[in-house]
Amino acid sequence: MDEKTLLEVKDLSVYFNLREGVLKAVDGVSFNVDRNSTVGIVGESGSGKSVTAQAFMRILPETAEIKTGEINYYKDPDNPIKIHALPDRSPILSNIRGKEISMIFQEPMSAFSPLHTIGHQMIECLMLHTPMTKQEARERSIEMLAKVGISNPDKRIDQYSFELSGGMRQRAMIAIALSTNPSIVIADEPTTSLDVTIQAQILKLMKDMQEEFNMSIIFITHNLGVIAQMADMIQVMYLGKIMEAGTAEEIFYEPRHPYTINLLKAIPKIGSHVNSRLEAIPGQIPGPFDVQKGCKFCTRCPSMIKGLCDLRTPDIKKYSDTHSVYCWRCLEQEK
Amino acid sequence: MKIQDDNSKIKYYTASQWQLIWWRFRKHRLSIVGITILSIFLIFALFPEFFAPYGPTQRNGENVFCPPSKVVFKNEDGKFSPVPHVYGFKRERNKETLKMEYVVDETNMQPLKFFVKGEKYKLFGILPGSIHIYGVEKGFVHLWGTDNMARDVFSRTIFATRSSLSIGVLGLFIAFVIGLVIGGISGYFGGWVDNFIQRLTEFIRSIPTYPLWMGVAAAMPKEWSPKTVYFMMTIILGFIGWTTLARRIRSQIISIREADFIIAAKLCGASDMRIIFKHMIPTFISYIIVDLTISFPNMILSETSLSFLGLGLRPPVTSWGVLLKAAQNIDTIMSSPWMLIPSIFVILAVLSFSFVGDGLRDAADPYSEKS
Amino acid sequence: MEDNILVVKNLSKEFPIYKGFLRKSTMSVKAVNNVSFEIKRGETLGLVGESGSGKTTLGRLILRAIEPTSGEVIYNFSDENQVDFLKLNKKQLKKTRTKIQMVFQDPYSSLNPRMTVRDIIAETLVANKTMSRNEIDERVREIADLCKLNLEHLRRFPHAFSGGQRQRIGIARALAVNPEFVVCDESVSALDVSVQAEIINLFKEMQAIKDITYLFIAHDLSIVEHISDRIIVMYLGQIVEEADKRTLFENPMHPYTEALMSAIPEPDLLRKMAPIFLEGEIPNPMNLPTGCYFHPRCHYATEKCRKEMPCMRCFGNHKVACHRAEELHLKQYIKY
Repeated sequence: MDEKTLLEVKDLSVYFNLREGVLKAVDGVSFNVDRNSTVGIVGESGSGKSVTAQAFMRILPETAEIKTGEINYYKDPDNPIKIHALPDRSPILSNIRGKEISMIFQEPMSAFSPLHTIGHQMIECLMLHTPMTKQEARERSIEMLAKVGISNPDKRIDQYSFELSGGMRQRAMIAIALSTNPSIVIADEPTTSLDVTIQAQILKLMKDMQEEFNMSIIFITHNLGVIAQMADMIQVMYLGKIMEAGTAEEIFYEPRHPYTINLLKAIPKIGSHVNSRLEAIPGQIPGPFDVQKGCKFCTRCPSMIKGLCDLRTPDIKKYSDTHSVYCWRCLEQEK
Repeated sequence: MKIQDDNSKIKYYTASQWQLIWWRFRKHRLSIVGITILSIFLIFALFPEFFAPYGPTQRNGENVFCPPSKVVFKNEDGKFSPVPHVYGFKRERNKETLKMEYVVDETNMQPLKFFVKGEKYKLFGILPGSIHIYGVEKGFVHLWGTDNMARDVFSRTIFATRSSLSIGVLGLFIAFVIGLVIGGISGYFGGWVDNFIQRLTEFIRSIPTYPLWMGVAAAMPKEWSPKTVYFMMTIILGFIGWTTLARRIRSQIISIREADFIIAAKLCGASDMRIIFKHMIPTFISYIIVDLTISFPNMILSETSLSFLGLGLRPPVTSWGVLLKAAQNIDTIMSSPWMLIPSIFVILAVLSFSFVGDGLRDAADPYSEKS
Repeated sequence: MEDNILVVKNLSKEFPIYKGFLRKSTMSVKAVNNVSFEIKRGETLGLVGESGSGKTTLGRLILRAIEPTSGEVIYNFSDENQVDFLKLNKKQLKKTRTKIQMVFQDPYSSLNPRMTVRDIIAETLVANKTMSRNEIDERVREIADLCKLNLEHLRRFPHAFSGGQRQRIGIARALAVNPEFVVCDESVSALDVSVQAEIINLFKEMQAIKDITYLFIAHDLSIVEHISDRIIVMYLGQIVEEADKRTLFENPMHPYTEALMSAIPEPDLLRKMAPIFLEGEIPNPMNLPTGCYFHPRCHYATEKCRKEMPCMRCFGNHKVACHRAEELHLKQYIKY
């Protein structure tokens, strides 16, 4: 294993057992998160990007189970913690949740308890995961609130989450997530419910914080613009599978998978061509129970190979150490 | 529901609201049990003359407080028989307590017959008939014993089902109509009208119900016939029960008044009437049905408790409450516990309605994501 | 024939806030505050702003989905018919509604789940009672076909469809009566990226076929830039800037526009954003600042901005409400 690797995901599958049948939300996903880097997971609805992140913290809904795969956490490179194999109530797991890996949610309103002040929740979290006294925890919380750009932190700490505006609430959420000095922060659509000007501020804040706290960020979003601004490495997901993975440069400048290529063409870019048509991807995203063999994208893929793409799951094609693509067409071209 | 093959998919895609509700509802086992029991009760209530071996007021000689008949699957020779037989009773005086007691008369055995001719009746007051579902040719059969006037408790319970259910239905209907009108006005117009109606509703809700009922019952003239009392009861129950429904209807209307598809209909140029009847009512009617189902036990229990207190229906009208009133004192319960059997019907009915209500509540919004 | 299909003059909407037992209205929120603009026939006017800017309210006011507090809304339809929209009675309103339509944001809540697709699309036609059942059926099939809906799906209910298809149904409903003017309120923002492009293209195709004028409301500047000819920027219920798309992006004149543009996350690694940090957040509309509403967050604010509300000034076709419009040289976003 590489020295740089902090989190290793190997062949992860998460299935939901629902009355309608088995929903394969995440289906054989593998990637690594390096120390002090930002991995972006980009995908549309139903791509399984959020479920993947929930699996890292083992906070999946009750109907879900990790069917196969490994999640290895290399805090100590010689002694990895196998997150997937930890029992539900193990103290190691609760230490991982909140201390080692923390999460920033899309809707900060529902992530805070309306019954307790922000400070109460921050202090509780700190006292649970660190040997701090209440007074120390309070001081640390105020310091964190100040760091994330909340004015008058010594007053704000005694306020309730509903007294803050959306942007401030998200800042407080980041403060809580960072207060225990985690190694990995999972940000699940952290700016989707915010206005653009606020979004820009939050994104900048996260970058600044990453520099200061030396942490890795797993950034989940549907917005290609946001991912371009944030990520070093990008995983493009579609219907529970990774389609293409690579550095930001590889994904944006040399996309190889038809899905990535078409997705990038489908978004409007400012100043491109006046009144030009967008190149849309035909069709709809299939429903979660539409059983489908082969490549998940084959129903909408313009370069689908009949008899191959719709029958067999594509193998991996590596263009570089970092750039891998799961596509028959790319594999065929090589021959 | 599995929606994996094409045929069932198309069926699902073209399914109307009610089909979706039914598909979701039938997944609740308890609700299905509940609705089965209620259907049986409904059939009892429609044709009590057929299901009861005797009329509700028919006296069977001197057999006062006769215990339930013993049913055996034996014939006169003491051998097994698929046809159930019942033993008769002998009345004997207990030598020590000097009380009259019923002793099973082993010599008097009658086969229990089905679809036998018995007392004549008129179904719905018009159709003449005399067939009862079961009975014996000689003597009497009292599956659940008799009461203080030698009337068959089983027959009376069956007849009581009719009045108890119908009083619930009628009372609820009145409550629903009042609730729909008042709640509808309150929700649709809003403003001070809404404010006024809400304060009025709160006022009515704040009146303690039992003292009010007692007052109303005391005010009812004694010379009123039991039938008039019966109708007055439904009206009273309805007039008190509308408040909750009115509030629910109001809140439903308020919540969908601002819904996008209502605004869309408005922008399409649909008239107020069209918006109300084509868009709004179909949207909330399923929730209202849930509310009706859930308030039904209240109606039945109100009637039962009123009659039990002697404030409601009076003999010779039979209702579950009236039957239970007869089992009010400790003496009766000690000596003839079968008088309490009708309470099983009350419990079953109330539970069934709750189960059905539960199932309906989950099914009422078939478009929600959870399934 | 008049050049402008829609002229809006001094349009305002105040929402009263009721308090206490007697529900006295003591305060009000000015959601839209004295707004005037025109839309030319056949163009697409983009309307951008953040939450609380009043853009959705404005869209609903000009369709009378909400009744305005004051102002004028005048339509000039192609049959040389000038309509003072706010003064119409019920019957005239119903007739006019066939010429102006709306496509909603949320494709889930804007379709009545209890009606079939056919009935949803036919709603306007049925409500107007001018066509026979067969004619309606024919029109529904025609428009559904144009919107690329499968005709066999007309019997289905909305729950059978995904977001993109539902939005097509919404568009078909709006276009079934051949309207001249359509308000699109965030009509693509709830859709997945791969589906969004198709819907945007559909809007453009329909405009070409049916000669429709759009008011396209959105918070996403890159989508507005793509689809619009002209753009209006709103802040706290007021228009702060109005210009051609090119002019606006090449030469923004209002500091808020500049800040908004600096925050666009572009899917381009070479254009890393350098957001202009706006102090604080959008003020509470119940407690508006004095002077220019934007001054508490503006880097260029002077004493005058704190005291005096700027009025809309024209620089050719470029309108700005800023005291310092001509002296500030704001950052160009892009050169076309």
